[in-house]
Amino acid sequence: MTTHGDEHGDDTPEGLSWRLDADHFPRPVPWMLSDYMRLACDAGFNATARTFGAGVRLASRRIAGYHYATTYHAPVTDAEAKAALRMDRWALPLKETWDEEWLPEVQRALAYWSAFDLENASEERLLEHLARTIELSKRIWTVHFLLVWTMDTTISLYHEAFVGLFGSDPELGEADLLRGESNRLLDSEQALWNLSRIARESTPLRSLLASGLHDEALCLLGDRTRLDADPVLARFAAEWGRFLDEFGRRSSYFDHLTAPSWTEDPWPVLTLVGQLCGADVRKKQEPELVFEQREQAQARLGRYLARFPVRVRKYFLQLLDAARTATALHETHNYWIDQRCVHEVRRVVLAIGRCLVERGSLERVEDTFELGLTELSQLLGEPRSASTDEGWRSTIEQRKLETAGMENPTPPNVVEDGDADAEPSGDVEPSDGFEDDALFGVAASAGIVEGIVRVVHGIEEVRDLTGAEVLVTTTTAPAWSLFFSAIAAFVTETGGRLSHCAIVAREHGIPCVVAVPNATRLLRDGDRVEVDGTTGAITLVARASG
Amino acid sequence: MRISGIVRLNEAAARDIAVAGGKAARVARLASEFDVPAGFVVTGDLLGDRVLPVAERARLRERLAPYLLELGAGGVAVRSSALDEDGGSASFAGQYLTLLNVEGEDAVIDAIEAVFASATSERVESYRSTDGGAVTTRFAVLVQHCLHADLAGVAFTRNPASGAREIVLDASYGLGEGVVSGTVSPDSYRLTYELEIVERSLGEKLTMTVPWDTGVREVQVPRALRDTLAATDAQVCAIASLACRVREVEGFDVDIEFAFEGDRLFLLQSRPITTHRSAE
Repeated sequence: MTTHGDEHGDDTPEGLSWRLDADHFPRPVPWMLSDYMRLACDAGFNATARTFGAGVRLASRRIAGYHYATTYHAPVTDAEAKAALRMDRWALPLKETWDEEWLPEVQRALAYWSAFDLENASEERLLEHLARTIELSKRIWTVHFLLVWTMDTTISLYHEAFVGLFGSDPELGEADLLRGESNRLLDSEQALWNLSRIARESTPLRSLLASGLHDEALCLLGDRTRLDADPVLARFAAEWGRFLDEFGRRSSYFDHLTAPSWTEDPWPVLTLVGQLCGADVRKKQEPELVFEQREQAQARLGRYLARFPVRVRKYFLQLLDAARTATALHETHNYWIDQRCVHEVRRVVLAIGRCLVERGSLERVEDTFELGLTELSQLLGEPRSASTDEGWRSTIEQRKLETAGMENPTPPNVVEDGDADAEPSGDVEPSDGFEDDALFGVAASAGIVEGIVRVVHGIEEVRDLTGAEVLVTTTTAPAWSLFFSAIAAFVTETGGRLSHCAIVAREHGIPCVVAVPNATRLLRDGDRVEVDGTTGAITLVARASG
Repeated sequence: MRISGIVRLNEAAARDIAVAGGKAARVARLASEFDVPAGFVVTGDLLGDRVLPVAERARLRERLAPYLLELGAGGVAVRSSALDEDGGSASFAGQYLTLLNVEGEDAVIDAIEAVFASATSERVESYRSTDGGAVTTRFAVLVQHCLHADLAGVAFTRNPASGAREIVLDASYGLGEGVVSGTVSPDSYRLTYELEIVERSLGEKLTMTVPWDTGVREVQVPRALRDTLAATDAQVCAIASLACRVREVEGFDVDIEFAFEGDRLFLLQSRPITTHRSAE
């Protein structure tokens, strides 16, 4: 493998095809996000690949402001193959490994970050802290991929065993058996719903939220005199604080590093609460009902299992347990690693940014996000001069242009190494993807429902929910699931059966179809559609008038 | 067909090949020395209609009831036991029908009818044949408690390929039909007569036969269980020991069919080892 030797500093082979990571970052990203992904996320993936003796590697890079990624083949030496751990052996002990190894490791890292006094640290201490943060990040993301690969293997093994033993008739309840596990995403959704119930009771708060007067609402929540006089408002303020503390250390979508967190800017949460306020009834299937369905499915299978060879019965039941854990961890790990740990890195970077602004090296704290983490160490640690400062500033300005200048055009989905100019192409004519008035995607959550399309690109666009909405979005960000108790169905352009929204949609019992190409352009606000989450079909019943 | 009698396996008549047919008589004889699934033999005649008239059916239901009750809950295995079956070559190879996990009196009668019917056609043909072999119209059906086998297979007290004086054993998950018929690649062992395991060979074990709603079904063995030996060494030694004891009792080398249900090891069948495997 020849060294690519560009400013990315990576050693990926030449001649690769880079694919836009539209699932996570369909918009341009600041430099540091790509840098962090490469440094921590790719490294974690590749370390895991070596652990399991898998001959695949992940690489990512920023091209014209967008985040691209690729996988490529890497030879596995005989020694590595011999030493490789078998992924399938990790499936059965998954819960144990998470509870006793991985989660404690993540929580130790969070404790380290939380204990460090960012406010009063010297530049020297910050430099050390940054180095430690980078090392911790690599390790955390290794844990992330060990977990993700094991989870995926577990669910795969469960599916294979289930179909092999019982067949693939959907009536058998293969998916039902996995439902009913709580996870951190469902917890946050529940907390948000509870907040909305309290808000409903408060007339002043409710009307401020309905009018989108978020600043006024925040003022109200900080007004001691008002809180003392109004017990409902006080109750909301207390729950609000608890919610932000537990679930607010994240941004709205997938970029928890460079995008502001809810603790810094709680507007998105006020928007969510305001919108849920209007919902009279929660659509979520009652936990008791979900559990009952699960027990029934298990009893049906139990009749057959009772007569199977004892070792098969025992193994299947253990695998079922592990698959339930995997389903829960699918969302829960996202909370602990993708959100909480990355949020801590953001805090470190912001603290360094404040430091650099104070000494005059940077103009704005947010400018730090146009540097890589290694570059940031350099800037912080090297001997300063007017010219070095100027050099960094001009690099930052250049990169900011890229990040901001590409808002409208559609970036190419694939960029080949060696393409002279990776310029994003112009607006692509959306092809008419309808087949007999239907669009098709991957069936992610069963059920059929008719509803009104609402195409949204941001959670702030979701307003005035009536419960009949079919939300149509580009990505499967966990944040969308926070609306699931108040809508009829969910459709996205990207994702797969194991996407966050898929799992949560199944818990709520609402139909969900993912990976429908160009859904946000082919469907329009007001269209009446039938969403079939069992077959993956979205049928146009009536076009919106006008 | 006409039903003449019902004989329990532990009754003397069951051991008589002229009454119970070759297969059932062998099983009955083994039952006196070894753990064999409990059962009975239904004797009859192939003449007349293929299907029992309604009145006959009702009578048979009444007669069968206590025998089936004795076998306890769960399904039964219904097997043909031809009366002119000899120990070696098989004259009517295709007719030996076996129905597993049959549950309920009506289903058992249907199964008995089916087994009788499968024997009828070939025999009627043979009446017209000129080879002159003696053929009887009397027939028997072996009904036994159907095990929920955890592990099953076959064991030889002499290597069937090389003739070496050692025990060769094939075992896999579930009911043994797959191993016996060769549709499953089982684990394979070789042992000395002192019950020392000298070779263990991991088989593919892709599928296993298990009781289903009615009858049985061939399902896939989960991957993790294919990758390991189905039997423990202790189970293997127990099976080999059983094979040796059968050889002692019979006085010649044998090929046995066995099954484990929980901790209990059952003997299902035994045949003398001949140069060519008996087709059955």
